[in-house]
Amino acid sequence: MKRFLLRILKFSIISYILLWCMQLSVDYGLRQSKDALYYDWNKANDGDINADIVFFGSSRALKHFDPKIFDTRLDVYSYNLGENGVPFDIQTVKRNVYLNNNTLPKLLVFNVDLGSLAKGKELFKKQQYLPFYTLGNAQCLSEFDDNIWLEYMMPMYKYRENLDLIKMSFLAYLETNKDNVQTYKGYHGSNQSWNGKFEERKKILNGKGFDYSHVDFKDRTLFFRNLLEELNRYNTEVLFVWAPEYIERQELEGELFVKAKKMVEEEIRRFESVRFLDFTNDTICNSKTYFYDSYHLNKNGATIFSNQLADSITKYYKREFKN
Amino acid sequence: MLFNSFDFLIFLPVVFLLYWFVFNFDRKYQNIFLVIASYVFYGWWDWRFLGLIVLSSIVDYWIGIRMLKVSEKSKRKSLLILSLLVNLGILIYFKYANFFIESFVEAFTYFGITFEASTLQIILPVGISFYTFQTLSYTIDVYHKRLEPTKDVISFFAYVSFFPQLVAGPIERAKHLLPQFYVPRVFNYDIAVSGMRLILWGFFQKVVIADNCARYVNDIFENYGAYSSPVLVLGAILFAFQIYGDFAGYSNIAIGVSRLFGFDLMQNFKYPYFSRDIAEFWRRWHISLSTWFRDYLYIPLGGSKGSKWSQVRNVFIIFIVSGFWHGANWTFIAWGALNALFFLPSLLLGKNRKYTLSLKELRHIPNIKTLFFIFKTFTLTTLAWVFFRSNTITDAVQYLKRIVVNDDYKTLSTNITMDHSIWPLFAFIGILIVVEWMNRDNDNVVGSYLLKKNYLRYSFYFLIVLLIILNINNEANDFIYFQF
Repeated sequence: MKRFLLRILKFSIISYILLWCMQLSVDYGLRQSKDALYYDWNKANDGDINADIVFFGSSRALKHFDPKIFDTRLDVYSYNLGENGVPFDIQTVKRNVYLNNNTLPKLLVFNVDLGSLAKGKELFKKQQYLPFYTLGNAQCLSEFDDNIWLEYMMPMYKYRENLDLIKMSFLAYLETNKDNVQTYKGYHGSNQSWNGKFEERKKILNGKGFDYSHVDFKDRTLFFRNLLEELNRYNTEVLFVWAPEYIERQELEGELFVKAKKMVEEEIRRFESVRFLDFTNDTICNSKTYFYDSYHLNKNGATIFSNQLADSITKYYKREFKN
Repeated sequence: MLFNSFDFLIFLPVVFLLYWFVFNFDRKYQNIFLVIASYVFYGWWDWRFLGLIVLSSIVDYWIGIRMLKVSEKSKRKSLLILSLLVNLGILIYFKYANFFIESFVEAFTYFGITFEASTLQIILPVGISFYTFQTLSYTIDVYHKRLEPTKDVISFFAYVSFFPQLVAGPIERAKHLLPQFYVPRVFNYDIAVSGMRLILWGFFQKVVIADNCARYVNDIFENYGAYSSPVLVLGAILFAFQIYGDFAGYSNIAIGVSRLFGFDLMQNFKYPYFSRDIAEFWRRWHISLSTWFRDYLYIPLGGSKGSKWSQVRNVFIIFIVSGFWHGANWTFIAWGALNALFFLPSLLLGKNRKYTLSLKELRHIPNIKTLFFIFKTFTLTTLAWVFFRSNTITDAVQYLKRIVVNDDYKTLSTNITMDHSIWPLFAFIGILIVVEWMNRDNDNVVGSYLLKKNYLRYSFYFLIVLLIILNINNEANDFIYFQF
């Protein structure tokens, strides 16, 4: 029996070590990858960005804040780290990766909206996080995915059903990854014109607004307060921006939309280094020409908005952000 | 509890350590512990159905004891009938009641008589067909005086509920398994190691082969109307590997786990897809069920004795009943009938026992003739599997018809299902075939061929562990045979 147990133990330990080594190699490969999925993550992780202004947020950040405009208008180096489908709580991971490895930006800009304030439910495009499982990141991600701890503890388990990533990692070693990056400093403008999906959605709603009955407003307020306290500790300027939303959507968002904006405004007022700019009353919100859907500006709209925001930053801060 | 769940990953070592280190002073305590562990294992799914296992165990234990006391044949026969009524009654109620109601309604509707009959809200208890057949084998053997009835109630309960094979077999005979509960168990290093190898290979078959195949098979069979001929052929082939990986995987894990506890279970699969004719296939596929039907149905019916007509009748009965055992659906009956049909030529020509020797007689690189026979047998079984997998007979017929009619061979590479993600699966199936072929002269896969060199053996184990980890699904997939 002793021999049997020792054999099992020996095999398990050796396998565990080998699997760890394999996982480290795959992680390392992906961290060298130039693939669009990891391009910005890797730049942030390698400390290659060191921007003066960094934009965080969901797809609305990704599609709205054009660094080229901010760089020109404010004479800074800015970078957009917006990511599709992530509310504030999940954004923490990318933010931590950036802030732990780069110089502290002079200005942190966060896009805020009902989507960002919502409680994260699941990890969108989970593969993007896989090479960056540190204890802290795993702790954060585990709130949204029950498998994270097991993935953190059991080597290679996180790459299950992701053989493509192993291949991508291998190709990164050979430096033969496809160049499929479609962003400029993280910004991903869209050339689309209004796609009409909003009208379809309105038809389904049949005169009713969006259903937000599940939202625990108190909990979300507390969450936002904690976020502000956490950001305040960085000792740098923080700006929250409610980017434009198409006017009819604002109406459908109804009471919660008004209440949330008020809450954001009131909470921010408590912190000297944090400011709030609201673009939901801007005339840009009245025309479909600037949007491709009710929540996202197209490239044309994003250019106008980015210019307006650059103006506002100049006006409100009256200082330079260049490092 | 599923073998491929993290619950089992905790359950197995805990039960193993308690069994060998805490309860090892007395085999009776080991048996009591096994009964408790088995009930926990089964109750993990739904504790309410434990009552059925307990009832079945009590009835058959009592009938065994009664048979010991009565000598008149008529009374013994009454006791046997009682056992059959209770066990088959439970099985029929839970598994077949709705099927009979629906079939009667459909039959009457066919003749123009319509009436409303509501089906019963019944949950099918996991593994009911397996443990029912296991307990029945005990009563029948006791009745025929092939086996002494046991007076050891704990051993009998442990025999009925033994967790490794409780829900999906192998269906053990009392003659083989029950006596193992009477004797003290001694831990044997070599047997335990062979058990671990079987467990490892079983997980490979289930997680890497069956679950990966299932992903494509489910899509193709559910949407067969949208797929072209080559994709449908591929879907049928993948199902053949899915069901093999799933069921042989379960059996290997069950046999392996039993070995860790000092028990020997019968081999359930002997490389069936290397069979050269259908008769050989059925000597290699689900052996515990095939031999059960052979001993308790086919032989009592007359077996291969008597006229050709009665032989043909017996073959059809055994295959159709075997199909019906799998589930309350006409598709399983059609699957059984089709296999009987495939079996018939060799029976009529007297060639049904042509391939009874071990596969080791075959060369490493088989000749064209052997390959042709293996291919032919695989094709026939795969054809029958289409009925097994389809929801209705109509679906199965349409599926096969579409293979012939819709021969758009160009779409194989452009079809959405056939994207590049399927290629690793082909490689995994390749590994399965090569490893099993290399070990075809061995009772247990991962046997002699890979054992010769240490570094080769451990590299192979590591590769299997890696493949299992990389293919684990977020949601543990049920074993197909649980539903039977």
